[in-house]
Amino acid sequence: MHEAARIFSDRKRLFLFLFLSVLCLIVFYYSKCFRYDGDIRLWKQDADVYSILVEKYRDCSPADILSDFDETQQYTDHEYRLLENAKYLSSYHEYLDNVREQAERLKKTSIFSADEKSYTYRNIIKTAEDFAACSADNIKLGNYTAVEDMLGNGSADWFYLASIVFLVMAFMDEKEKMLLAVIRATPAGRGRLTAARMTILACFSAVMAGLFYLVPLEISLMINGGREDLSNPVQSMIEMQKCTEQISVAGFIVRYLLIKAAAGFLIGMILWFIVSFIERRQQSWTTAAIFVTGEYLLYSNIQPHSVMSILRDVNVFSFLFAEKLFTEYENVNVFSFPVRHGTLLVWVAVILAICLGTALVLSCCRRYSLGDNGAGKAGKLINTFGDMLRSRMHLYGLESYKIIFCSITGLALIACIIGTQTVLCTDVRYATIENYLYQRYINEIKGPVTEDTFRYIREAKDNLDTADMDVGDYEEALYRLEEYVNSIDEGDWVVDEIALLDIYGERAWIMPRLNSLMAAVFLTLSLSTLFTAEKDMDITRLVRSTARGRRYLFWTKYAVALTVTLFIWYRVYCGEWRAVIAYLGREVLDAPCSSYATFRSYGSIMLKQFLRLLYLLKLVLMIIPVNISVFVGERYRSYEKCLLMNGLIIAIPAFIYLLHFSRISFYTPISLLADRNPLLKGTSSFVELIIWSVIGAAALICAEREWRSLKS
Amino acid sequence: MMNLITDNLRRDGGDITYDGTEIRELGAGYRKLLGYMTQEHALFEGMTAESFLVYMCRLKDIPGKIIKDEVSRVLQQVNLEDERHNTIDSFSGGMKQRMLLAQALLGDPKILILDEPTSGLDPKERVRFRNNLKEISKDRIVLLATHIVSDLEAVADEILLLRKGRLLRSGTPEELIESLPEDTVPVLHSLSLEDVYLYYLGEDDDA
Repeated sequence: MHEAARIFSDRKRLFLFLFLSVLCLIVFYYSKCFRYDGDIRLWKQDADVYSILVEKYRDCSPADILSDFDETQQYTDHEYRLLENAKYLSSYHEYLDNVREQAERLKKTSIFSADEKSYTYRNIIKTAEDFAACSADNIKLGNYTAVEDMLGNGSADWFYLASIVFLVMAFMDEKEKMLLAVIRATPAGRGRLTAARMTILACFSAVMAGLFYLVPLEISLMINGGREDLSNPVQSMIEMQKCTEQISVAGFIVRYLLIKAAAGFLIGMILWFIVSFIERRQQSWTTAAIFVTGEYLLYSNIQPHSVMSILRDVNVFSFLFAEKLFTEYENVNVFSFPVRHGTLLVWVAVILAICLGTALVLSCCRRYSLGDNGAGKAGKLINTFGDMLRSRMHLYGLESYKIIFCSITGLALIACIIGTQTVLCTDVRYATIENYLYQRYINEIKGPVTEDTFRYIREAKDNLDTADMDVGDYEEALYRLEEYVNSIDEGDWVVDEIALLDIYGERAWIMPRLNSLMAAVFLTLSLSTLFTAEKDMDITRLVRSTARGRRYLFWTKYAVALTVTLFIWYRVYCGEWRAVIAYLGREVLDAPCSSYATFRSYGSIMLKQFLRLLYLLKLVLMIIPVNISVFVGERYRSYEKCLLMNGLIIAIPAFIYLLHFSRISFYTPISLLADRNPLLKGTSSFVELIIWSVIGAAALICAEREWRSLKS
Repeated sequence: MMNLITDNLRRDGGDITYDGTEIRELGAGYRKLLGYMTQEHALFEGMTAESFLVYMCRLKDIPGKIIKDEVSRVLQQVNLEDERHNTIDSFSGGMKQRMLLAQALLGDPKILILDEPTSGLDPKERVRFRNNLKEISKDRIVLLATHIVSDLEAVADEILLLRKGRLLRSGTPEELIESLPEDTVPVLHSLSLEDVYLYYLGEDDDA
């Protein structure tokens, strides 16, 4: 109880947990509400339309619903969704029959039935048995939007993970404050303290799982309705087609939350074990970061049925992203026996919890952590090798080492690598249904206008003439294409303007802003420590008394800051750049910009040259927040204050900007990195560019002066 | 005073010269001659002892070729050779104190400024330090600020007694002891520098 009071009475920590919870809710709210410009009333109105539609057809059979809609008519989004649900409900029994028939067929196939003790044979039998329990009789049409929202709220997993990490950090307070020996010397400082912390971790995991998953569900239920459908079998939801558990939707939610809570507890135990077992603070957190990164890379890169799939299946992220345990039917090969992935994870969780609990108690009670143990010897060996490398480094290398390995920057950069695994360039489609065929034709002939282009159009027309189907839409698309090709100026290419609008159009603002927010957050986290390390360690006077401790050191640190910036630019913006190229197609990279109406003013510059220029400009523009961060770092005496100020000046405005408060664009340099880029907006963003460039330059000059000035 | 000599504090007035030249004019050239040991345990704790000293060598503009030898020399001098690959956060207070002294000795500085160098050292290390200091002070200026008077008796050629930034008295240890009134009652069995300290500065916390 006292330990809980100690942990949660720390205002900073409490604020952090509340901040994460609120941020998670804001992200959820805006992910649902952004298409309504953040207006909750519009969201509610739209949700009500679907609720009424579901209500209207609730008691109808899927066949009746399908027959009520004309195949040729244009559907609204809600009608389309309802139809998809009806199709799913009507085909579910067919799906079950298929699974059973396939199992029977495979059993009779000689290559599978030859060895009845093989994993493959047993897997076929088990799959058939699991699906045999499923029935299509009870599944019903319902409004499951809220549950779907909860399952689609992927950001909650990361907020949840962050909160668990911060709690484990709280367990390490005595190590940070050099009180470990004092605490261990008290009667309750070992076993009882460890037990108390395990209880706190378990309760905290359950409460945070509720906050991060149940609260968004409740909000969505209030907006979308569908509470009465929670008693329906879980297979009533399209996403749960492969689920073989005989439970209701409500039962699924309870299980889902329990697994999330267990996942939080388990991840917390693993991290706690790592950081308490390894003596040196820096090494322990670096190891924990490497472990989490490694697990994530294994989870995201190993294919489900590869030889190494066990590393993906038994993985902390399999626990964390628990929805896949229900939405995907997967058996894992355990000594030739097929075991349901979920069942395996539950057993692994129980075994791990027991083992880690025992190890933690032993580590905290029996191990004399102040002594020189095996981990310490291994650490020394690593240090010896590291020292050999570092002795050859110049100041730049040593400053880089300091910032990456002796501060939180290393963790921020690892987070950057994980967070930028997939960088998207668009999330909107300018294309309408009418554009679909037109775009398909364009993609066939993208490139310079040649005789082949005209031949293709002629042949396509001929094909339509001989087709025995309704080709009205095709003819219209071809006519449009022909008109477009004829209007192309000499030297210009056939290009897909709609695809370009998906990336740089007025409505395509989310992804550029999201990517810029990522860059801002990683910059803030990475650079806040660079100029505060000396002050944090009270070493400023010592450093300033050396020959190179003033101007030279400042510019060396600045060079390191630029290198970190280059890395973040590479991860975020080069990722975006690659996504843009993939989206537009490599074949149009040599097209002159004038081929695109959007970029007409850039004339004969090739698209690839324009993109190079655009992304290099983004790199240059990133220097503005870097300079501000350097200035803030120089002004504030501690890392925490610097991080807070950088967050307030750089990251928070970027976040508000992401939430479609476009008017704030003037108050954040991040807008220039996103959809207010001067190359895209031309003179309309010129004033912002000038003002922020002056602020950036002034911040750097002031920081340099401040660094070498004498203190009064 | 330490901050003024190391040019870490803005001066209201006056000059500080080295060989007749104002230290601000000498700039980095002057700081190359300095070896400064602060009173605080100011070290990058995540670094190993060797890495920290290499880092300080780079800051002191010591040529790369001699850095390795220089690091080994100072580590030997402060008796931390066996700890060179351990991170500083695992060091005790006394070891950190020796690390600070080691970095001050890097580059064989002509001016050595030591602020409370022996606080936190055990008696064995203190004796070792005094002997080292005697050795190295032969051909350089050593400015030692300390409240441990016995250190001074062992190593100081000349002592300056300062009160509130003003010079109160100066001289060799013997001269200062002789300057005491005849009726001074010694703290120990005979008059020593501790009696001088108590007589001149005893009631002053800022001494």
